[in-house]
Amino acid sequence: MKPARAKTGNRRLVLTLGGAVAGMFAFAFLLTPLYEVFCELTGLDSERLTRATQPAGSAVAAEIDENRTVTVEFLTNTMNPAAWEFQPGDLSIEVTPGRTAETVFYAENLLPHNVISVTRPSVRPLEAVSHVSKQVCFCFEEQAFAAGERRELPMRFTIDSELPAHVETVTLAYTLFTAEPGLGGS
Amino acid sequence: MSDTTHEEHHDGPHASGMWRWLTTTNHKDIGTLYLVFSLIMFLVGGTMALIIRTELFQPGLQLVDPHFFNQMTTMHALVMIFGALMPAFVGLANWQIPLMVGAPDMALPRMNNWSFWILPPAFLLLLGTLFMPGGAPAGGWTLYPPLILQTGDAFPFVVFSLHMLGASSILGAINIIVTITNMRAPGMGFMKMPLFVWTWLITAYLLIGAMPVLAGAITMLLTDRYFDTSFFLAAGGGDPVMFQHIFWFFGHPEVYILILPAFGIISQVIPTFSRKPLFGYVSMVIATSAIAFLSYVVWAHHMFTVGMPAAGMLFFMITTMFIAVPTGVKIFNWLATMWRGSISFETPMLFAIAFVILFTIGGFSGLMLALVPADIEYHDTYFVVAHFHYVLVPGAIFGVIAGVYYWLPKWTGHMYNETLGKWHFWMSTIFVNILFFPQHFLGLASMPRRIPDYSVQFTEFNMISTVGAFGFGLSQLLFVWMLVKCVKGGEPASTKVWDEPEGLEWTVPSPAPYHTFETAPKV
Repeated sequence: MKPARAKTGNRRLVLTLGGAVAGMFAFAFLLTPLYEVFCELTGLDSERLTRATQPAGSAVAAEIDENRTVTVEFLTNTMNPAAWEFQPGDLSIEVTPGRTAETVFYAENLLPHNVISVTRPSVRPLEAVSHVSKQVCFCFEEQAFAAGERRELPMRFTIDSELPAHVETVTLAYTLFTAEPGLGGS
Repeated sequence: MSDTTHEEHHDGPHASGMWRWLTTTNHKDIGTLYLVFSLIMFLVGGTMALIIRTELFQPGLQLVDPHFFNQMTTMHALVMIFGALMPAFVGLANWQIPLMVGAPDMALPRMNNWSFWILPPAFLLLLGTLFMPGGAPAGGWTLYPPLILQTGDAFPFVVFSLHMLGASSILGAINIIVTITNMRAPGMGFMKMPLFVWTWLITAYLLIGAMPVLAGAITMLLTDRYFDTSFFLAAGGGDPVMFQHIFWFFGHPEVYILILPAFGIISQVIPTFSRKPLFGYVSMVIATSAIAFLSYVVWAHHMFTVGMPAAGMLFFMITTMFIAVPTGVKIFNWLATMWRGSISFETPMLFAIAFVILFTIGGFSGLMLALVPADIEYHDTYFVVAHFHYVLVPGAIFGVIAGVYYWLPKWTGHMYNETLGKWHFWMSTIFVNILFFPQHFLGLASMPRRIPDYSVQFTEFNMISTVGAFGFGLSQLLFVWMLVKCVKGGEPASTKVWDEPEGLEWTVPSPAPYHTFETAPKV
């Protein structure tokens, strides 16, 4: 063994492996955007797809399927039940595919000061995700609540007629958070 | 290494007392440090397990409050994984890899010293969290947000200690790869390396791929809590499920990090005591590499219940079941090695045989968990606990114990007490089954894991399990006593120790001198 050559060999390998470590550390952070790209490509991210409204007057949305109805269930959650009262107005409604439906939710700020809420939507089953479009939703933006304020939150949406026939029930779920950093978990 | 000065070439350590151990760069010293440290952590983590089992002896809350119980389950896992198992394997690697490839020392001896001495302060931080306001982390070792973000003052200490543990094992892994790649004796090609060296080479690459991802994930947790980021907070547009993806991208390779070196040890022990060369050496190498590769594409089988499209579940179910193929190749190779061998049942061989049988049980329950419909039923029940304890206790830990008995005479120059060794083996094997086998039934009957209380119909199996836990724990005290006795004295061991074992480590005297293979051996 020639020590000098062995030393450069070691150094090169250590640098390569160190680079691999740094690369994997960066990869962990890169997983965040990659994960979003993957969700968008595969249509798995129901939040992103249902937050935006679909272009009005699209052919699919306009077509009305009078031959069936779909049960739409509403589910509400809040991460901090001591700070929020959050309920759906209807537990479930029957919707004709292609026809716009309306419902309301009720939210009450139980705290003695002003707060802002953020709501995150979710759609199940996953195959229904691309067939739900919302025209009006409190989940589109933050909502300001005065101390103790109780408010009605309207929601208008359409389920298009392309929804697979075996999907008879669609669940729209909403989780309400206080829009302050760190409060989401407490 | 031949450019070191004459003064450094005397026979023993360059300093004495505590200073020797703090400053040592000798692979044997560092190996010993790692092994002693891991033994201490094994006892600490075992004590936590006994607290858990004592609370679970009866339904209702008796011994500890639920919050402390949760701290125990979390800390038991962290201590056992990062404190007991990983350092034990790195310790064995430090002692054995240079001896097995005919190198005078590890390639980067100073870094080696560092990678060990990061560990004790990291564990001071981690164990110190038990005494902090809000207590130690109690959200499970998987650190899922948002629950884990509710940890009290201990949270940044946990994250920092995990960063240190990660750094330690990454440094160790780099050292091992460089040693194996550059320091093999002339003539020892890659396909002539002993299997323990091979499995460690692959494990080291797994560590380099996986540990930085954990470091990234916990860094994101830290910034979520203190720097207003929302990587995993739904309120800010983040996604808690993403943490599970990133965590298990680390976590699944991690479980192979905990078992591959044990595969290597078993592949050394079984041929020696069967007096036959290892059956299917090349297929063993390929199987180990295949397991390592597959470990990166199966992570989501830990999270089938989060809501995944059917295509995703199918993908992860099938890749998971593929792992049974290379693992089966290994099991059959071990059996074929024993087949018509002239087998003798010394303690290392007993542990190796128990490993093959009991690890296979753990492997089979793993296959059951790989099936999506079954997993949704078993998820977060004691069935999962039984599964991973079967692969980690009579799997990984028995592997370590087999390795320790196998090489102990080479390290100390003394034979251990074979009678006590057999006692240790039978007690461990019987009690480990009493401890974990009933947990399968508890899980199938839907007893949830990580809960300090349970319905009364689970009482009997829990009592049996707790009795097994104490039996297993006490048997390990016998092991500690034997180790101390063997270090202090005993029947002198010959150079070969066993009956015609294969490998370079059996060509140096027992105990192995402080410096070995300063002139490279001929292979």
